[in-house]
Amino acid sequence: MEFREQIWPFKDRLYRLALRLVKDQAEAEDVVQEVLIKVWRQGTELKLIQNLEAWCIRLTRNQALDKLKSGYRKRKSQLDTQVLQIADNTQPDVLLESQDTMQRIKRLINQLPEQQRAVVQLRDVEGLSYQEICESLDLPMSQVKSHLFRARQKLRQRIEKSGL
Amino acid sequence: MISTAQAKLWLDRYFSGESTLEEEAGLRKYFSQDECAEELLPYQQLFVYYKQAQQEVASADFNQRLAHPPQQGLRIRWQRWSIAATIALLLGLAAWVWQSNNEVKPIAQSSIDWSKYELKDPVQALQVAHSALKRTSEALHQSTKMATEEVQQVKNIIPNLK
Repeated sequence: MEFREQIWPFKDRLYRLALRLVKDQAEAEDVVQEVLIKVWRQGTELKLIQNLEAWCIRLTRNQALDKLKSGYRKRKSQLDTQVLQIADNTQPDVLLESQDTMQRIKRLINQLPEQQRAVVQLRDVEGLSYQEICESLDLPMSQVKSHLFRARQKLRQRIEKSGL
Repeated sequence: MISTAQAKLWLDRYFSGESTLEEEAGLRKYFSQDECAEELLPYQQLFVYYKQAQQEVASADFNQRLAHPPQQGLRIRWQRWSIAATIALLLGLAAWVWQSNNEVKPIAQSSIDWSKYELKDPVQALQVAHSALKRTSEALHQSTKMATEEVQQVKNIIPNLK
């Protein structure tokens, strides 16, 4: 199978995880590109990898953490200003309010510790099973469940406190 | 149609970290409906956010770049050619070293021209031969003298020796 066909189905998932971790669109794209170069360098050895997607997710997380550790200068924070698209038929005032709420939720999630953020991203956004998350993040099941529980509890408390 | 009671149950399980993927999908479906119980409204945007965040994609420019990755076949061919070129280079180097070593020896041997030491004049040859014989005679004489002295020293050490 060609490299592109192997990677294409989940490259957006890698991008979204990178984006959630580095919080910058251009940096997230750099992370994914570096990951794909690493994957491509494996050449024929790629066939030996049992779960390519999980392996790529792990590479993406590590690459994103390396980027964060290197202390890259965040360009203009696109994540804070970027607005998620919502339905076109929404009234302008409702649209603005909804976008504002989305931004606040995004900020709440971005305030979570890195591991909790990664687990929430993979479970609640990507819909991965616990087992898949364990393989992807190279974490034991107990830790994955613990991170998810704590993250959701924090989100619940902050939502109830702020009254979104 | 998912009931509010069902949604509340799933929501409690969700925040306790006990919900299944199916229940979480059910919650996303419930909160995407037009009607939502007022007490659950604060959580609606969270699930709407999850649904929208799932649709985030990289820029078109980035996808364009990814659409043309280097060809794997080209990489394998390049590796093969690089190995072949390295072997050829090593063989060439070995041949050059071997050839260089073989060329040095004849030059070293032929660098001494013995013909220039050959004597042409018979008188000079006689003088050289005379000188050589004289040195030989002196050396032999000296040897006899040294042997006599050695014997004398032994006699001194052992007086009764005849």
